[in-house]
This record gives sequence, structure tokens and C-alpha cells, in this order.
Amino acid sequence: MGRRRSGADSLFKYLTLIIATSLVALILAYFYALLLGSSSTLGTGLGYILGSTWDPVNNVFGVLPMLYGSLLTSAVALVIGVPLSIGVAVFLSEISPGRLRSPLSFLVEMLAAVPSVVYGLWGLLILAPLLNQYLYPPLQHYLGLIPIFSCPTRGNPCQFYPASFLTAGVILSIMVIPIISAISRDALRAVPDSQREAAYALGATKSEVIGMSVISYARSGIIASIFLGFGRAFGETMAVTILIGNTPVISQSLFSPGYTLASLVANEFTEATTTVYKSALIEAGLVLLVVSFLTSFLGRLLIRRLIKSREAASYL
Amino acid sequence: MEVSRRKAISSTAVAAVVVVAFVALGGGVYYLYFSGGSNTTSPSTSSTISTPSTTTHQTIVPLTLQAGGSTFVNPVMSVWIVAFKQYTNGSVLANYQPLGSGAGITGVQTGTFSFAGSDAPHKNQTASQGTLLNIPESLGAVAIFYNIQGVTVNLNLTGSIIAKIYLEQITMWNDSAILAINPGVNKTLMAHTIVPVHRSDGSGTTYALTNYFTKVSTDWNASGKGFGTSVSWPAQGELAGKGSGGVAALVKSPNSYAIGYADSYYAFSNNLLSAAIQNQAGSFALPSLVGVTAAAGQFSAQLQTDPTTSITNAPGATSYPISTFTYILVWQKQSNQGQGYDMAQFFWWIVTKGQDYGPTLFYPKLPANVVTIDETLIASMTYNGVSFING
Repeated sequence: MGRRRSGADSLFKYLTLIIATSLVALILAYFYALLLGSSSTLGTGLGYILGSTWDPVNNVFGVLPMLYGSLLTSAVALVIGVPLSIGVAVFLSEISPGRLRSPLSFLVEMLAAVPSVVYGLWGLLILAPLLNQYLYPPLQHYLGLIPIFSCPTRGNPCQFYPASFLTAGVILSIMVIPIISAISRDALRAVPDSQREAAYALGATKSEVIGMSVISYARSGIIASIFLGFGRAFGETMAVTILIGNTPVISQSLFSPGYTLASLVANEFTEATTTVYKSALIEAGLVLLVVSFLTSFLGRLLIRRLIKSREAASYL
Repeated sequence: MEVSRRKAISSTAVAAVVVVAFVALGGGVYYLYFSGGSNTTSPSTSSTISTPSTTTHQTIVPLTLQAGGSTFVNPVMSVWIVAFKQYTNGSVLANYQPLGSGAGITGVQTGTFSFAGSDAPHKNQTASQGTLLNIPESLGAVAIFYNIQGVTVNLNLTGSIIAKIYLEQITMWNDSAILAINPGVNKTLMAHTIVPVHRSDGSGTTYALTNYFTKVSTDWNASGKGFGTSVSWPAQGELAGKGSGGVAALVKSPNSYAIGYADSYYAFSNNLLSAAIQNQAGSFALPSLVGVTAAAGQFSAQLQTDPTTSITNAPGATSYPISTFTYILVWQKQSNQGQGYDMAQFFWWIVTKGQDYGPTLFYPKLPANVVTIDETLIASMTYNGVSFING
């Protein structure tokens, strides 16, 4: 009745099982190592996450400004990057002529090959001055009443900093585009032609077909890619350290400098000589890991609900 | 049914074993690296052909030295490393990572670095390797540079004003205190907010600057911030750069109206103007070879007894007030003869032949008495009790 497995099949099965569980075990090992490493400061509990003062000299450790900075720059990166990425993905999968498809997708994926230090330096030396000169002044002038676009310094006309949340967010958005667009493109290409044909048959225009059948069908894949992009932006270190200004302040203005968890560790780990200091920095790493996990987990929940609702509504 | 249940159990068993193995591995790795003492005795690795001998005829061993630390000294250190490699016919290469003095100090303590460069002295450190020697091997000026659109002159500043800028007590370039000592400058060009830039990492340059502040600024002393490789800078309105290069890059950004501090070489290489700082005698001195040499010369007697004497706020009409030595930090008792000998030879070469390379990069030559002090310190490096230089 049942097929007899060959020896090679069993071996293959166990080999892949070992590899798969190793990866899971690796993540657990990371958690364990981070927990052990931060044991000296875990005692402060929520005070670490909610405190605003980072003073290693007096052993006061609070990472709220850094957590805020990490979340804010990632949010800016997604707000700018997601529409661009989905636009690129839709173009490459639905609209572009066949000859353009390969070279264009190759070039977009090459964005991921640029080292992050190079992004940081290019951002500081070339992009930031351009943004400060041409984009930020009109943005602040016309939208300045909205708190996120308020001027970070006193004085008129507004003076901008060479490093800020928005500058770091713009560079991060460029860095997440290859990830989100590549995965979204695959998700869009996986939409069966029957969906498109059905929409055309109902008289939809090309843009309606894309919006109605293709993107909504590929929703789960696109959302998964967005969470991957968030993970990339949240943990990005070098480019952000160069462009964020490294000041632990919580400011509502996007033009203000700030600090991120990853930059904090990058800047201070090499001189953390005491156990408590090291433990505080490792706890920053733990917070990074936990937040990334939580967002990925929430993302999966969201995707599962979307799949369920699509299956409930689908009658094909 | 029986077969599939057996398969399920065996798969789970394999998975469980792998998970436990990894967690144990992670815990073991953590235990080894993080809970060990900070003064491990083995300095960093490289393939050495060490000949354990106590004769006087030691020879250069081909190897790579791992070192790191101060970004302040990095411009001249890079040149020294290349020149020494040529001097030893390609035998000795030092790999110096400019991670900041704080990282250098930590590195030499944990054994990651064979030696470190640090503008901040690290005295009275003893371990199984003897004392940590602080050898003052280069001199430099901490330049205060700025970027004000349209201002093409060297501004006059005082230590007290700079301290107030970094305390966010003076926030505008056209503050009356600054304009009072700069009568010729265009006031409208100065009507901008000052953006102070400090170091985000542990820095010997910060040590020298804050040490200077404690000597000249009552406001800085009142704030209780003290001096060190890291101080708690006011957060609002200031920026922090990683490394001297990071500070220079932020100040150099167009229309930054920022002020920063780093070795004078960084101001020169980024075409940034440096301020003329008022010294103890009342004259405004620009960072220069003459100014730094004069400052070091004022402390000859103190340096004799303590080579780590601070040379900030030197008396004398030509002294540059924010001058500092950079110290080579190295353990006195070396456990690897080849590596120790090569390092002793490198340091000896730096204080003798290497001094010729400094001035073009804005590092003045060491004063003669400091060279003598250094030679004594280098000769005190030993292997099995035998000095590398005199043994």
C-alpha cells in the first residue's frame, strides 16, 4: 500500500530536516545569548525601554529615544519605499515590454548589492546637501504647520541639520526598494492569468485589472515583502549611523537629528569596558531582535487573515 | 499508521537534538567570551617564528601586528606603518584600525590589539603582563573647525566660549561674546544657529578638549561634566559623528553652520577653517606646528616625572592651547618574543626616524627630552625579564 522509501530519500529527508531545525535553533541560540549577555540590566525591566536618559558614566540606561528613532526611520523608509517598490514591481510584471524586463529588474536588484557604508557616505556627501537645499525648505515652508515638518531650529529662514530622521529615512527607502520590489514582483507574477482575463472580460481597463485582480490577489505576498523590508530598515546600522546625527532626542520634527538602537550599539560597543555597560548594549540588541520578531509575527497574522478572507470570498 | 507515527517521532527526536545542541553551543560560546576576565594574557594572533632566546642578537620576525585606537593619530600612523614595512623589507606590517581611543584602550586590555593608539592616557593599569605603558609618540593640535557660509576668515574664539557652545549656552554665531572678539566679521553672515558636533564614540580627542574645558571654563566645571573619552553632551541641538572623519564630514556638509573638533589634519584635508584660540598669555593662536611644539615645551619638567602630563592650556605667547600627545599603549611584559621585539623596534623607529614624516601632516616632531623618555619606556618592554632593546 505505502511506497517503500529508498535509503537516499530518507537521508535527504533527514539532512534537510537538520538544516531547517538548525536555523530555528540558531535564532533560539541568539535569543539565549542575548538574554545571558544582558542579564545585568534586565532587572530594570520596562525602565530600560521607557527611560529617556542614556548615561553610562552613572549607569543610567534608557533607550526610548533610540527605539523611537529606529521605528521612525523605518516608518519613513516604508512610506517612501513601498509605493515606489510596488510601482516598480507592477511595471516590471505587468506593463513593461519584454525586452526591458530583464535589464531593469537586474538593475533594481543591483541596488541591494551596494554596501551600506557606501549608501551612508553617498547620502552624507551628495544626497543630504541636495535635500537640504532643494527639498526641505519648500517642505518646511508650505507644510510647516504639521508637526512632523516643523523647523528643527529657531530662526527664520529655517536652518536644517546635515543629518536628520528624514535624510536617514530617504536612504533607507532606497535600501529597501530591491527587497520589496523583488518579492512583490514574484508575487504579482504568480497571479494566474485567469484572474486577469476574468477582469478584462468584465470590461476593466488595464489599471483596473491591475488594481482589482492582480494586486489584491497578490496582497499576502506584497505584505510579506513589506515586513521583510521593515526588518531590513529597522536593523540597518552603518548608513543610518552616518546620517542620523547620533543624538538621543525624541523630536516630532522629521528634520531633527536622532539616534537608533543599531547606531547606539555600533558607536559604543567598542569602548564598553564594564559588565553593566556591555549588558546594557546587548539589551539594546535584544530589544532590536524582539521588536523585529513581533512585527514579523504580526505580519504573519495579518497575512493569514487576508488569506482566510480571500478564501471565504473566492468562488472560483 | 504505525510507520508514519514512527517517522513523526524520529523526526521530532532529530529536531529536538539539533535544537538542544545549538542552544548548548550558544550558551557555551557566551560563557567563554563574555564571562571571562577582561585581561586575557594572549595578545593577538599571527604566524610567528619566535625564537625563544635571551641573547642580544634578536631579529625582526615577519608578522602582522594587530593594533587600533585613536583616529587623531591615524593620518601619521598610516604613513609610519607603510614606511616601517619598507624599512623591514616587508617583514613587519601593522594593521591599525582607527576605531577611537576608547576602542583602542579596550582592545589592548582584552588582547585584541597588540598595541593601541590613544590620546587619552590610561595610567596605573596593571595585570599579569606588568603595567600598561603609556608612550607619548606623537603630538598634535585639536583644531576647532567650523563651516559658516560666506565666512572665509579664521575666527577668534576662547576656550570659555567654545565650552559654552558645547553646553548649548551660546546658540547663535552672532552672539555678542563671539562678535566682540571678531570685530571685522560680517554680522549678517553670522546670523545662524550654531550646530555643535561632538564624537559619538569613545575619543581621546574628546578627552583632550574636555580636559582643556576643565582648565578654562567655569561653566563647564559648574555643569559637572568633567573630562574623559566620553562625556554626557547635551543632546538637543547637537550632532555626533563617528570618528574624527565623521565629525569633519558633518561639519563640511554645505550650509551646516556647524562647529567640530578633531586633529588639525582633518580640518586641512577637508578645507575647513580652524579657529584661533586664545591661550593663557592672551594671544589668539591658530593650530600650527610652532604652536603645538611651544605648548609641549612648556611642560618639559613635568613630563620628566610623568610622561602623561596634560599639555592643554599651556602658558607662553605662541602656545596652542588645545595640544595633546597621542600615547602608544602596550603591555610591559610581552608573552610573545617575536611580536614584542618587532613592536619595540617599531616604536623605536617611530621616535627616531619616523619623526621626519610628521610635520608635513601637521604633527610636529617630538621634543628631544620626550624622545629620551620614550626610549627609556620602550627599553622597559621585556620578554622573560630581558629587555628587547638592551637585553
